[in-house]
Amino acid sequence: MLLVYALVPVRGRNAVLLAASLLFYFWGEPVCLFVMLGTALLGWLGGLALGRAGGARAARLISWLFVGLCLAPLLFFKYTDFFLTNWNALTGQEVPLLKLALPLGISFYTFQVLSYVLDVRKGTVAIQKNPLDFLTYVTLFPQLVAGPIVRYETVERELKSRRTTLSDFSSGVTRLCAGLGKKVLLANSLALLESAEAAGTSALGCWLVSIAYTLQLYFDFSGYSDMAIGLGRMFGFHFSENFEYPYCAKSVTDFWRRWHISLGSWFRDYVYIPLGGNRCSKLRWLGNILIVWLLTGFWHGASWTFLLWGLFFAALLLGEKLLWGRRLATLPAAVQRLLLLLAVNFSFVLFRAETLPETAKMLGGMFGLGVPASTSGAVYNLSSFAVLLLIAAVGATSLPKTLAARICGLAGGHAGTVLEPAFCLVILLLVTAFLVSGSFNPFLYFRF
Amino acid sequence: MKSKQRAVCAVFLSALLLFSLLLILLPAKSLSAGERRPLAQLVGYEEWLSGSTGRYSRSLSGYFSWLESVLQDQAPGRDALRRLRALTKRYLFGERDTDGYYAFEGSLCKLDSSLSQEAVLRAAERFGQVYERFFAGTGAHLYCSVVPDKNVFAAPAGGYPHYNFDALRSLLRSALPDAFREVPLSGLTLSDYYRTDPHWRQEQLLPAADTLLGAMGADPVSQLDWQPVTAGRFTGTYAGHSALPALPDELVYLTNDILAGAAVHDYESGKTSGIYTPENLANVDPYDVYLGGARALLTIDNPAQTNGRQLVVFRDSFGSSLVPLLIPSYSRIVVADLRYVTPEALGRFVSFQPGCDVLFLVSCSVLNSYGVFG
Repeated sequence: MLLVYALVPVRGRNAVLLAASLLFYFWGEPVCLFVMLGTALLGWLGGLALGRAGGARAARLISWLFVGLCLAPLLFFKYTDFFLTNWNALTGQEVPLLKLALPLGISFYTFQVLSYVLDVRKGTVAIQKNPLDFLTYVTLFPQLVAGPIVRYETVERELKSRRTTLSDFSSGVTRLCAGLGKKVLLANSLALLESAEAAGTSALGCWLVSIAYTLQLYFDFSGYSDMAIGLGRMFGFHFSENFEYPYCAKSVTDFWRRWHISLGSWFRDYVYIPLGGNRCSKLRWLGNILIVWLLTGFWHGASWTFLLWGLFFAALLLGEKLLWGRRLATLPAAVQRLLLLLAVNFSFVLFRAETLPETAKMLGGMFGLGVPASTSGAVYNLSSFAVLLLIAAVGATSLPKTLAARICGLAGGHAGTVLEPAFCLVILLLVTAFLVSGSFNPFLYFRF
Repeated sequence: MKSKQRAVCAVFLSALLLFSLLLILLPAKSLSAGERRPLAQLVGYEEWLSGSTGRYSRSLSGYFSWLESVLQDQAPGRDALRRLRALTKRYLFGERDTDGYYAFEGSLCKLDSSLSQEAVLRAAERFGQVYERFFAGTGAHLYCSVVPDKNVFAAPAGGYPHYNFDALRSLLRSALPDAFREVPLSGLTLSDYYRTDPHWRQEQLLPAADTLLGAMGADPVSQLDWQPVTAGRFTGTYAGHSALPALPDELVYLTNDILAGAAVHDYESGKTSGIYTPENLANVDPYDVYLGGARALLTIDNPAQTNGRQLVVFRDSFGSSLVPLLIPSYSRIVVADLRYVTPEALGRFVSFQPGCDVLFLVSCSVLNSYGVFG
């Protein structure tokens, strides 16, 4: 594909990318390809319709119409069964569930299309008249299935004209390798501890599971984002960063500036600010925060655990802004980080569980309720995964990047000429070895 | 800076090109000798649909998922890559086991940490059914012996999770009819097993054979003249499955004039052969040299023994290498594997001598696996 992309004339490159993206999606989700194409088509038509709107009122109506139409597949596939289940529970009826498979990446590409429609209405981006270019944007394979949520304005210029420089390509390769390493070597290995049967039967085991999951989630998702950003760069696109060492944050506010940045900024710009943000009454502001975080939780999954997860963060953010934020800032940085990590770890217990009783059991287990402090299996898992946990903990900080930059800068920068290609080669080799041998390869953010 | 960038691009593109070329040009492999399994082969969608699709759904999506397994199976240098992964997990990540396999004192073992009471009770129930159907009230002498697996020796010493072997034996004993007498196989050590395989080494088993024979009131065999035949290097299933490095073993089988004169009848194939099948050394699992490998029902006739005694052995693969050592003491041995033959089918093929000795010789790993005995 790289070869074809390099050989075709510049104006044909979007077509190559589009063909590759459609093939990529078709490979993973042949049936739901048309859902994605339909959503993209609606977004494109919405842009055209907005261009012909006769006034602000018409534009508003058109934008709401197309936002509704674009959201419909997401609501239908992702949330119908949730509402039916609760309806049945409330009314005692037995309306059959649809049990539909969630189309791959639907939450990501729907939000991308929405950002385009809403930006066209705001006038911050130009209307894309070429359907193939718009389709290329929506289906762009590097970030199609697990983000980051690339806004149209980010790639608007590059969709028309872009150039892949040597610097872009090489930095893209290094980023791709880093992402592969994070995902395949670290996240998948941590997943083995997270899913270890014996680990959840004692307090120590519950802590191990929750810590492993917290690290796995970071390496899984940020690894995928690195791959997307790296691949994008190799094709001349410059996607925004999606993670900035979130586990080094000192507060929940700081954490959400560093974790899944594209989603946080999407909700900020398209929900929170249009609702009035913080430039309104305190009560309204509280309502805005609650709405945004309920939606953030609900975006992640159609279940009460995700809704509660969103509310948990809303409560922490409000607490931080209204109650303990100033006092927290006076504590030593290490204590602030530790408290943040504890809060995030508890939140991911909720995130990981499929039901509320499961959450309660796990949280209770972490405090020794109903389980022994430790079992031989948990001690074994700790001894077996201690090194990996340490590598992962250090890997989640900026230390490796800083060290790598220093080492590569040695000998007047010549060390990097050897070490960076060697790093890429070693990672590629190890990733291939892990992928060839192991069938356990969960992508956590695929389900969103 | 430019030279670094060029080097990164060159390394990446070369690796991509080389891997793709090797994948396309190298002939497809049909079998993984190490893992003892056939490798997925590239076939068209229609052909794939016409056969068994295994764990993949019968759809285009399932076909694409399966194609990924073809890519995994046919990856160039697959065995070396598997070894690289195992070493990375062991020595870089410090994981104490690799996919459940660990090395202790140079011997590869497989974790088995929890005792499945259901599995043991199911096995006991099946043994009890066999007893009631064929041997109750016939004057037969019932014996049961549990073969310890390597974990029994390695896991406690190495600090690996394990269940209590004696608890398993005790549970089995309590669930079996009173007619059964347990014969403990004490005296075994880790060195009595292959380093790379779960099985025990036949050349180390004469004391165990004497223990069993002594308990059954038969003549011991360790003082007989045995000739070891070295059948070459043997890399067992644990080495293949784990990809962990371990020194290969040497496969040896013991024979003598008595065994040379004995004949094995296989009810599945209808053929009669010798005790050992050296032609099976070329099989995926050379351990098949002992009594032809995994067979449902065999009878062994020993013309050199005229005492007329019959032994019936219900066994698993561990029995394949031990049963030949029992041959000198019996005129006839019936060997059945209850995993492959039902008691109903058994009765159609063989009859049992009143007052015969009946030995249930099963490894703890088989006893502890639910579903093995139905």
